[in-house]
Amino acid sequence: MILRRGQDEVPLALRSLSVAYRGVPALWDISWEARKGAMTAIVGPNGAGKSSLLNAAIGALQPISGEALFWGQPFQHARARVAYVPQRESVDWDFPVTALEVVEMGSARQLDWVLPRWIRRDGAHRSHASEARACLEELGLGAFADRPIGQLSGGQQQRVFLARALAQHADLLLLDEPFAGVDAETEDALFQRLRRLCADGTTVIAVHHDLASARSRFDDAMLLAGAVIATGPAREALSEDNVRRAFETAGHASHQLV
Amino acid sequence: MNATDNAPAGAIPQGLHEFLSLDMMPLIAVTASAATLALLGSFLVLRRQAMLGDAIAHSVLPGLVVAFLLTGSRAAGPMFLGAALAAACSGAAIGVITRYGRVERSAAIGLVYTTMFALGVLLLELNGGANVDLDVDCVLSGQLELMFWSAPTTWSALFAEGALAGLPVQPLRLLGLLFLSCATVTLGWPLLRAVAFDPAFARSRGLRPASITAGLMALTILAIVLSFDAVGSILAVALLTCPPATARLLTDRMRSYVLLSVGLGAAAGVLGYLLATQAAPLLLGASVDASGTVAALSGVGLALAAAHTARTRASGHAPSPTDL
Repeated sequence: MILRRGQDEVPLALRSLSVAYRGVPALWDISWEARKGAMTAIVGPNGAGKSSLLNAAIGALQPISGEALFWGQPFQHARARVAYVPQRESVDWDFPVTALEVVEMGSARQLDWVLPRWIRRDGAHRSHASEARACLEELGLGAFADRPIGQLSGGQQQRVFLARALAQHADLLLLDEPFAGVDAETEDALFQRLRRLCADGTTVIAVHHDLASARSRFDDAMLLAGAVIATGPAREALSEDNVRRAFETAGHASHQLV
Repeated sequence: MNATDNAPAGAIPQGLHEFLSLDMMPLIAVTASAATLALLGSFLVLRRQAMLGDAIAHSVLPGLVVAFLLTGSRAAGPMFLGAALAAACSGAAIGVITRYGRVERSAAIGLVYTTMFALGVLLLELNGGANVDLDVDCVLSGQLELMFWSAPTTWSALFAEGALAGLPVQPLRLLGLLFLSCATVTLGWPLLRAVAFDPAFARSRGLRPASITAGLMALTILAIVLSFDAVGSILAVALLTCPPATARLLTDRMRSYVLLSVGLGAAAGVLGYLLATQAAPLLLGASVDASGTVAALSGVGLALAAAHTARTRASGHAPSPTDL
């Protein structure tokens, strides 16, 4: 494959990506490039294929055509640089695991997965545990490190997920509804944290459900309704006209927000 | 001269000899199988797939019967293959019914495993006359009584070379499986935890949750197959689900949950066996099937834990998100 010039600078490029879910097409011919260091919101009506887009990009869904390239490479060669945070519904929050243990899943590298810490004597696990603790503290959850996640509030649980993504030290964050169930104050703090990451060159792509904050807080937006309706700077891509068109395309009679 | 002098020097006391011959190997078999099933079952319960364990335990039966009829023996290899094949068929059938029958998954599971189990029983009944080695009874409740060991009568013979050669093989196999399962869980702990908690994330890290789940499932099928001799198939289900469910009610730390689950399984094995063979003769005049008491005990444990949890919650001691 011949790389376009500067392709290895593009954190995520979708090339004519089409996805079908159980035989039903969910995404048609999506082509798009993420901007390095920008925050992009993926917005669209229910069933617009927002989550499918992320899942297809990281190979959890097999696209029927097209490809997703991270810095010019397929996901399996780039996964060390990408942090993925799934929808909160995809996880059982009653699971007997502590906040710190969840974040340690983010800082774990190769051998950390297959060897229990008491077998290893190289001290690597100690650094990954302290790193995980630091990420929790950064999001104001230091006091909750050893609590089972089931005892945390919804907003705290989302912060644990984000702390896990921070612990991965990724160059690209793919977040699926990261602010679901989060109160306004926490959402504010999380946005500020993501902003600082972007200032350091990290790219953030988030499936987002709130039009107003998508317009005001994100740099770019991709408006989806099976196909791409609009992309570009958030305010322009998410104009009233475009949003109405997205809902019409998706077959929603009412123009209410997802 | 008194009675004890009649015995040769270094004789093993009669009570101990009786234990070694009659009870030791069945006790090992029951305990090892209960602990293994509880360990592997704890991961099923964690993923809220207890029903799947139930389904597997039942639907492997036709596979076992066919393997037995084809090979004429109860060798573990063919039995495992038959069971795995039956489990795979059931899995495929559940997938097809869910997709094309437009019913929910749990309904499809219920449909498939009862059918498979019935098929197995039917096959057994049809061929029952010809085979004394495999019948409905032993499939339902195991054959502990066959695990006797003609133990040496003197201490010197016990420690002599080759004294252990006559040990029945099933309990040893179950011990080996317990060891294998413990080693797998210990070494793969962080991996198993991540895959069970958040498969989508695990996948994004390149951890192959599907293969890991399938591996754990294969180990579970192996445990069910090898446990047939010890506790029978119905019992395997009780031990896959009851000890983990009990432990889950009592702790919300994963390490203590899994350890407690194994401990409860082993305790149900030991106590259930003693209850059946030692207490029942005193109370009922005859010993009863150990598999029944083991399963009943693990069920009672779950009921007690549930009652305890309900009471604690009612009195408001359990921490809740609103406390924060």
